[in-house]
Amino acid sequence: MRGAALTTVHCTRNRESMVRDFAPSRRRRRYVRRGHVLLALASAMIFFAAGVHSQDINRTVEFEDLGFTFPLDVGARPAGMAGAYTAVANDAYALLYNPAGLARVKRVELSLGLEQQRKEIGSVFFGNPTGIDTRDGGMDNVSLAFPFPAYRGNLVGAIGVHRVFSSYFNIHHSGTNETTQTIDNYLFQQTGSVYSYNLGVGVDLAAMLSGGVSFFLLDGSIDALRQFDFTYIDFVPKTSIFVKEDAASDLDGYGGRIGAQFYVNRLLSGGISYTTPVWMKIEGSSVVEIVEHRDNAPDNYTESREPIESEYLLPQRVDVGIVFSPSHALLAVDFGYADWTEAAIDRKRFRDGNTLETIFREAFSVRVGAEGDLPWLPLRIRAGYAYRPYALDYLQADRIDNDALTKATVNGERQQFAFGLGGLVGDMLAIDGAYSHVRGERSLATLEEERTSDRFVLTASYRF
Amino acid sequence: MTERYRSHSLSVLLFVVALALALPACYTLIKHPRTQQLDYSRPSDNRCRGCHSDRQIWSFNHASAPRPNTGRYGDRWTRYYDVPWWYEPFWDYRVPPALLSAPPSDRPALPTDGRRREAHGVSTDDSGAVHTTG
Repeated sequence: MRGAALTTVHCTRNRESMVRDFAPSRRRRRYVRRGHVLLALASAMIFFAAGVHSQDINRTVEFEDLGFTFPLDVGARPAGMAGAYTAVANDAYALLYNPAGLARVKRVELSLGLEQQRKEIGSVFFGNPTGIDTRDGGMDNVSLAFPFPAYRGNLVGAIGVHRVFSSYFNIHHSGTNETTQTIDNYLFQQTGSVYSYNLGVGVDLAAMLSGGVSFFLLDGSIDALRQFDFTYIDFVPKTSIFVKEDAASDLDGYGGRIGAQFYVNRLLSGGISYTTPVWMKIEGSSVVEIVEHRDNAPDNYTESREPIESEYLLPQRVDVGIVFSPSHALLAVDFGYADWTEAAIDRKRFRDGNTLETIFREAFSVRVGAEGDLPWLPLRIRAGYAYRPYALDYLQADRIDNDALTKATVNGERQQFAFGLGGLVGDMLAIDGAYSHVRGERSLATLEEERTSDRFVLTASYRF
Repeated sequence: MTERYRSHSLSVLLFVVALALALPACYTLIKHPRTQQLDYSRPSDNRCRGCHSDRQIWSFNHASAPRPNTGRYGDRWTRYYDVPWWYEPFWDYRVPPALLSAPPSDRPALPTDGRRREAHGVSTDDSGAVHTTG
């Protein structure tokens, strides 16, 4: 944290100097609107997803940018049912969805998975539409579950590496900013993934009750490139400022999960899973380059290196699920709850300084998944729907200034549609595939934004 | 901040308590009270059936599914999901394809006595007992 404070002071001077010389209108606006120019300028200077800057509600967007508010559905079978897996889990993926489900694994299981994802953010910035997409992919999971021979009940240990957060994120805003009277061009490109290294155990606690726990360590690397320029419309001589921030950082974190599954009868069973608050730390460094261009004058170039150090706290989470399993089919429903107002950066929560409203909100999610066997083939088809509301119903109208975080109108809460197919090769190899589509829309007076993603997951699970 | 740490500490405490309760589970038995070693691999000479019915033996390792999960997953998935790997020699689970393709009413009558090792198929009766067919 000491590093963060030093960085803030250092960058504030650079930015303030830059703005004083070349950008009076933007600086004036900050004085008027925020009354704390040092804080705001510091944020503007070194903002990027993994960046370090002073505590500011605008930093809440980092949770979204880094993918923390939208964990990936690991495994093709769960993904094909939109993640409605709390009560269904009976394989190595139980490590993530409900560790009690490990107790239902009867054979040694090795699972491997790959995924491919495309995310698109379409924005209308002061009436100017822009769109940019991001593609990422790679390993979805490697999991191993080992049931210990038992006379009665089951005791199953499991380990796994799962890609839980995708930090791939591109966003582009371009247009005439009527608020600052500038022509803005903003591009933010971020790559990186966060992997969860899980260790868990599931055990039958009673004839109809299983329990399980898992611990996980998070590890990831995130690179971010932020480039923007703005030109003052009414400033003579014509003045433009170009900024490039290149950052590389590593993430570490930890958390735990505990769950239970209960068997009511042949048709009905249920599950509950509790995930502890997740602590994460991001450390790294960034290089900030600023070019000030003024007509009829030499360019002014500055470069600085900044350390990055921030702690993030994700809220605890509870998922409750039931599964109805008539012959050759199952229907699962999950309800999830996370109080995102508990989220914090550097041990501080976020609250609007004017309205005292919390920036994050409580999020209730609902997931519904179905699976059916094809009686004439060793195939299963799946479908799912999830209502996964935004943890943050605010948008940042001006990412160049890194301020103007404003409560947004949620035109369409985030919804997920999923389909999947699974087949058995021989007796012991299951091949599953899933496709999911996610869409959500929010808007402000000056910004409209639609985020969509399409994701494919392919997994192979062999039971020995 | 104090509130946050109190909440965090409570979560950790609950987690540890739950873990402590879960690990020494009383239901799951790794060691048999009066038998030295697991003997599923020698069903013709097994000692399990001397004391336990087939239904009991099945349910011992299927706490969450007292019967084979054929209802949920279909016959083809039964071995994948429901037969413990150390149990397989005991439950010969290779169901003949001809039996699988036949409608249930055409399936051969299932023996109900305890001498099933020589069989090749498996099914269940209404009581949930597991039977094999020869």
